[in-house]
Amino acid sequence: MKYDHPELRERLAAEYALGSLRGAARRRFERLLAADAPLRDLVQAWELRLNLLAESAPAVAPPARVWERILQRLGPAPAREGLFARWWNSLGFWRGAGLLAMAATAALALYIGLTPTPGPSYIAVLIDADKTPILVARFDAESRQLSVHDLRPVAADPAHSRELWLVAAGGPPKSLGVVEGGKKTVTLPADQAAALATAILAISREPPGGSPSGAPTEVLFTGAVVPSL
Amino acid sequence: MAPSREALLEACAGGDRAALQSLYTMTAPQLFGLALGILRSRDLAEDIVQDSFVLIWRHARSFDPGRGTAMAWLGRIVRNQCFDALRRRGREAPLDDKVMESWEDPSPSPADLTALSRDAQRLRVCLEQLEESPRQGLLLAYYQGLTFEEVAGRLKAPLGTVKSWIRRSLIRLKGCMDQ
Repeated sequence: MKYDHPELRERLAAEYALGSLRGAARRRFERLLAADAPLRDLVQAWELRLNLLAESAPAVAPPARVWERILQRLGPAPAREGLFARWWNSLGFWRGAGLLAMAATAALALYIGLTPTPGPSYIAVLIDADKTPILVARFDAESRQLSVHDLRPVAADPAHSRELWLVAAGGPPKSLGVVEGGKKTVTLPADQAAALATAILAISREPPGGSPSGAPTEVLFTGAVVPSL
Repeated sequence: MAPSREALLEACAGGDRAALQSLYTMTAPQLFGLALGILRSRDLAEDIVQDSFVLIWRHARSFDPGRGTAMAWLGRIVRNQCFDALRRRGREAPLDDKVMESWEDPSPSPADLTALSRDAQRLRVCLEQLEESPRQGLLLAYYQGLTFEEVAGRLKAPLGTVKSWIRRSLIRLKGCMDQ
């Protein structure tokens, strides 16, 4: 076959990007690609065009172990947190604050004296809009118990309740109940425990008794969940 | 406002792990869905998402926002990994029936167009201009990784017809997208 005909090149690039070019034909085309830069550009343009469909793919949450293995494969993080702190500072509160909290979490965990336990357990430090740590959460994989408590005593506010939320990857916030007396312990169902690895915890201010709508009314504190190593 | 996928990829290129985690949180469910549709094996799809994010981390620098959206770039990595995996292992991995059931209907989700990037919205509009069967064929090839032969079997149409449906659809899509 002649591969210098523009229409043929376009067609093969499109079918390669779509994935319908398979087997021997795909291998032959790949050999051709290796030596033909304009053809590679053509393929990439098709790939970026067709993969706009990825945004419409059905969402299925992968199990927590996938993220844990990715972290393992990346190895220990180099100490360079300061480099992007300013960038994060410019982001919105809800996600941005949670992510920033993550960088601080490991150091803080030592500071407040959390003893690491064996097994895939998690911690999170919930911070306010000024990035002041307010509460700490820890999850014990064995008992599936998630407990949060205030780092400092908080004055009682009878006019409001504070509600704890789990925001799993790609999902709506799920209530874990009202935090009373500065602490709260809940046992998570297996699916929520599995979602923790990529989740954010949040505390909202609600009317007494908790959110009337089932969604957080006013988010006060957020924290990204990280493995406690 | 959450940071865009593009901004997160840029931060990944600078070595920011928190950005990678955020990007994972935002995109892994759809990328896992994409891999499941093609591989039809949860184990294999988990491996592919894992491999893909290691690649994404290492190659984040080569993402060029001028050429396409971040999600298309991520989807491209995941799908290419899927096809490599299919080639290495064939389809001998047992097909998970439960996984299959949810992929009978290749209609793209979500129904809400506003959740998509502008480019992806444009593609959806262009797709809607295609006729029903050619569009179904194209989406089966994309979301389930089917060959022309497999699409023909699924749509109970002659192979030659399916080939020309998909080829014509690709040309029309490009014309429509380039407008």
